Amino acid sequence: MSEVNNKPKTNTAKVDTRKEEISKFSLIFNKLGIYVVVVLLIIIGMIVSKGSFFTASNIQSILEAVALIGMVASGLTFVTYSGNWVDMAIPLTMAAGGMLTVQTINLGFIPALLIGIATGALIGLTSGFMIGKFRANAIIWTWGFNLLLSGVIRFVWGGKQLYADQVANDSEYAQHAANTFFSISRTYIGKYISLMAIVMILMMVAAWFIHTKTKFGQELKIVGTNYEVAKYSGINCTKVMIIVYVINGITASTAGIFFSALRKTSSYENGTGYDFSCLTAVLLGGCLMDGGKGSVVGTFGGVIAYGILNNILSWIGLGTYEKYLVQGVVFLFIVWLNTYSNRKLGKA
Amino acid sequence: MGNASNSESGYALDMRSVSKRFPGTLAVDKVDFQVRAGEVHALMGENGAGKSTLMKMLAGLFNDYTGEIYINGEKRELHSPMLSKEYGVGMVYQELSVARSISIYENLLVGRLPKKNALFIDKKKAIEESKKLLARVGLSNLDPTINVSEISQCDAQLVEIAKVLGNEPKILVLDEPTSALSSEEVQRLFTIVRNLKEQGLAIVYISHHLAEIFEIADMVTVMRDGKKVDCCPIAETNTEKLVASMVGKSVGNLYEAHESSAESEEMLRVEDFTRWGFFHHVNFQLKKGEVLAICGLAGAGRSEIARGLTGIDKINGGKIFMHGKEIEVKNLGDSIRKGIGYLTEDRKVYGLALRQSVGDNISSCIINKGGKGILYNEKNLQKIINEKINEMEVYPADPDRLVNSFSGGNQQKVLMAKWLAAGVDVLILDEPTRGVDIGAKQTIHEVVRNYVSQGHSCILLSSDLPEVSGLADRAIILREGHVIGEIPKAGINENSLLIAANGEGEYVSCQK
Repeated sequence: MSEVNNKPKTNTAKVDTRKEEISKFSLIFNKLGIYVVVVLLIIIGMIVSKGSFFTASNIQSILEAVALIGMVASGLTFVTYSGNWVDMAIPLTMAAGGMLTVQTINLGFIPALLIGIATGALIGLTSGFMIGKFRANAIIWTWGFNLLLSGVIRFVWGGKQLYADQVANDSEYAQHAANTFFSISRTYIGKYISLMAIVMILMMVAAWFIHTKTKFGQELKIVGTNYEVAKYSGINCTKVMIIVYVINGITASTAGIFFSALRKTSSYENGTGYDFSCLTAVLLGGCLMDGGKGSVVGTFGGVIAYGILNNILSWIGLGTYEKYLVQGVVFLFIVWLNTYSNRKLGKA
Repeated sequence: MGNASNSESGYALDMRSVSKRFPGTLAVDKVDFQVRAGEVHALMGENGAGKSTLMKMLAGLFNDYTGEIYINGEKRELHSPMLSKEYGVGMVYQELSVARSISIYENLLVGRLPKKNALFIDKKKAIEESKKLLARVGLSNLDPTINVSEISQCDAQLVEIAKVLGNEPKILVLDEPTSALSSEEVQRLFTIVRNLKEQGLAIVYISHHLAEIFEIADMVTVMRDGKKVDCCPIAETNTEKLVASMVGKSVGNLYEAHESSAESEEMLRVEDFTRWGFFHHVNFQLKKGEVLAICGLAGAGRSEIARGLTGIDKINGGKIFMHGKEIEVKNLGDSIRKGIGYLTEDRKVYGLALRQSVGDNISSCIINKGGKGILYNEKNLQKIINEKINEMEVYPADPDRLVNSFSGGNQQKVLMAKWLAAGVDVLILDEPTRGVDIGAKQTIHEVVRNYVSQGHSCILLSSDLPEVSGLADRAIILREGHVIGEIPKAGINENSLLIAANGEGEYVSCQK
C-alpha cells in the first residue's frame, strides 16, 4: 500500500531538529578562558600588592620568572598535544643544553649556543625515535632517559658546576664570549622588557606558526587525537613524533642556556622542577592530556597565569616550602579538571 | 502470559514521556515506551534515532533524564546502574562484557560469589549456582570452571545472558544480540529467548535485522530523531511499513539493478600474492570501473589481503601491478600516493579522529596538498572538503562541526568522504556500511556506483551479502587464504555467495 519510491535520494536531507548550534561565543570563551583567569589574577595581584603590582621591578620579575617556563612550555605544548602527556626528560635536557654551551664557550658565543641547542635537538630526536618508531611508553621512556642523562652529565663532569668565565681560556675572544653568555639573561630592552621575555615571545610565535600553519601541525592534529586513525590515513606518525620531540628538545635546551646564564653557573640540577611547572602552564592553557586539543595561544595565557600566581604568592609572603605546597595543589587541581572535562567531552 | 505483574497499568516497564538532553542535542524527546511481562518488544530505528540513549536511561547511566519510569507499577528513579539493577533491569550489551580470561562461574557470579568464610569463596556452591544459571540458557552441559576464552562466541553471548539473569531481572534488554552469531546460533538464541518470555520476563529486543524482528517479537516500537513514531503488534505491520517509519518515508528496493561500468582496461593486477599463514598465491585482476568483491567467511583472509596491498603488513611474496606497471608499496602513505586507498572497518578505532572537525577528518589523507612546501592552509582544501560533504550528503553539512556530534550513519559518510577526497584510483572498502542506518547505506552505495562510473575501481570486503550482491560486478571467493573460485555478475546472489564461501557449488574451481 505504501508507494514504492525508486529514487529515495532526498531522505538524507531531512531536517534534524535535535541539534542546536553551539554559539560562537562559547567556543571563543572555551578557547580563551585562560585570559579571563589572567585578568582576575592581575586584579588579585593589584590588591595584595597594594598597588605596587605594576611597578617596573615587579613586572620585570614576573616576566623573568615566566620567560624560562614560557620557552619550555612553547615546545612542551607539542608533546602534550601529541597525546604523550609530558616530557619527563625536560630537566636534564635543560641542564645538558647549559652544560654543553658553557663547556664549548671557547669556540665563541654563537657556536657554543648552537651546540647547546643541538644537544637538545639530539635528545629530542632520540626520544622521538623511541616513542614514534618503537612506541615506547612516553612517560617511562623520558623518565628513564632523564635518569640516564643525569648519570652521563655527573659522570662526565664529576658532578661539578661549570662557570663560563672559568672554562673560558685567557684569550680575549673566549672571555668576550663568556661575558656575552652572562649578559643574555641580563639585557633589557627599554626599561622593563628583558631579552629573555622577548625570546620567549618569539618562540611562542614560532610555535604558534608551526602548530597552526604547517602541514606538520595539521598531521599532528590527527596523530594527537588518534594515533591509529593517523596511521590508517597514511600519515607518517614516526616522523611526526620525532619532529614533536625535536621541537621540544630545542625549546628546553634554549631555556636551559638562558637559565645557566642567569645563574652564572651550569650544573646537572639546573632544570629541576621545570617538567611539572611547565606542564601546569600547558594544562592551564587548555591542552587536553589525551592529545588533539589545545593551542599555543592558550599555553601563553597559561604561562602568564602561572607567573602571576607565583608573584601573588610572593606578595602574600609565602616561602619556598609553602610555594611548593600551593604549586602541588594547583597542579593536581588542573590535572583533575583536565580529566573531568575530558570525561564530559567523552560523554557528549 | 506467565506470572504477569499485578500492577495497575499491567506493564512490567512503563516509561512515560521521558527525555534526555545532551549538550546541543535532545537525544530522546518525550518518549512513551511500555512493555508487558511475557512479551518480546522490538525497539527499532536508524542509528542516532535515540534507541541506545533510551536504553542507557533504563540502565541507570543518566541521572538527569526527565519524565517518569514505572517498573511493575511502581515509580522508580533509575539514577545509577546499581539502582537500575536492583529494580530489576537486566542489560545485555552488544559488546560482550564477560572477562575472557577468567572462568565462566566467576563471570556469572561476579560481585556476589558465595563465601565460605571471611577470606575464601565457596567454590562448590558457586559452581552449583552457575550450573543452575547456565541451564536457564540451555547450556546445562557446559563446565562452569573453564575459561570464557575457550568457548564459542555464541556460548559467550549466552553466558552473558545467564550472568544478567543471575540478578533475577524483570526486564531484560538485548541489544543486537545476534550481531556476532551464525544463523544456526541465532535459532538457538531464539529458543532461549522464547523460554525466558514464557517465564514471564519482559524482553526489549534491539536489532537491525528485520527478519529477526518478525520471527521473535510480539510488539514493535520505532523511533526516529529521538521521538517515538510507531508502536504496534508485529502482526499488524510488514517490512515495508517498518522501514518506511524508520526512514521517515517509504523506500523501494534497496538494491536496484544497475549496469556494470567495468571497462576492458586493467586497473590493478595482483600475482602470486602471499603472506604466510594468512593468504597464499592469490591472483586477481581488477578492471577500470569495476567493483570487485572479495568474499569469504570470517577469517578467510580478506582484510589481510587489503592490509598487504596497502603496505600496512609486510608480504612474503607476490607482485602488484597498477595500470600494467609493477609497483612496490612501502606503507599506507606510499600506497595512497600510488593510487590504492583503504577504507578500514571500525570507524571509531581506525577511521575517524572523532574529537576533530569534519573538515580536518576529510582532509587527513591529503594534508600534503594543503599548501606549498611546509605550509598548510585549510582554505586550499576547502573546495574539495565542501564538495565531498555535499556528495556524501553529510548532515548537517558543516565542515567545522566535530565528528563526535554526528550520528553513526553520518560519521560513516564522513569516513567515505575522506577516502573520496584522497583521490585514489583503487579504493578498498572494508565493511563500508556496517551498523549504519538504511538512509546512509543507500547514499554510500550510490556514491560507490558513481565513483566507479568515473573510471575508478573498488574492492569490496563485506559480510553483508545483500550488499555484495547488490553492488559487486564480480566476486572472487576466498577460503582459508586461497582463492577458490570466481562468480560473474550474473551469478551473484546471496545463495551463491554463501554456498561458494563454504567451498561448494558450481563456481568453486579450487585453483590452488
